[in-house]
Amino acid sequence: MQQLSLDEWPMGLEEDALQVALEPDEITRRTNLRFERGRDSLDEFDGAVVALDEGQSFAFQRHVHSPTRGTTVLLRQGSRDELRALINLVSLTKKDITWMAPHIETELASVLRDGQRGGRRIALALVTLGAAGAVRKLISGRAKRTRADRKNKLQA
Amino acid sequence: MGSATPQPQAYVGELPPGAIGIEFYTDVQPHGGTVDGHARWWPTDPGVVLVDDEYAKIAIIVTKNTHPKA
Repeated sequence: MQQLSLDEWPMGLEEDALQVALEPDEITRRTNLRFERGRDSLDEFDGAVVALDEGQSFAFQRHVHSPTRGTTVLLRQGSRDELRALINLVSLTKKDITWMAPHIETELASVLRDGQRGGRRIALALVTLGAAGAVRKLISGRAKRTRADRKNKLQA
Repeated sequence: MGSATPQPQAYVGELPPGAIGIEFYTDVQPHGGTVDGHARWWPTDPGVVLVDDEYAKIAIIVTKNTHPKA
């Protein structure tokens, strides 16, 4: 994953897909992406373009005189990998998303659901590891006590 | 920059006081709606006319024009 300059804006990356309730500085804080000032047919904007390894990409765009808060995310249609990469990169949750284009609703719900499942799997794994550690401690504590009891008995 | 395809774009709402621009109405539906405060029309959308692959235009009714040459 790498950041492109606005001059390298990929062809076809022009679909407003999401509006997130994050201003560019918050996105920079979360991702280290650097927003550049550009201009399109409407107005000046602050933008950042991200390219993934397989030629996929997405972009953030915040028009400077936009009447609404937040930042628009541009994605190509049917871009599930980009959507997943975007959500992971920005640590997006459902509450960060203030609008989504109709064509992306199903994919977004699915990707968010996968993310939650992954989170639960990790949490469960940690709990399991924690329980195993506790069992090991219990066993080793019991063994130590048994050895100490035997020693005590011998010494007695 | 931002898009290689000609697209009419607009902010939703009235022109702010002191701003230079035009205020208009249109019956042409923006692509994907206007929920994010921003309207964008694609050349493939109904009511959008592509001119020489360079400009795209929609029919509007201008209600205010604050451009100095207006």
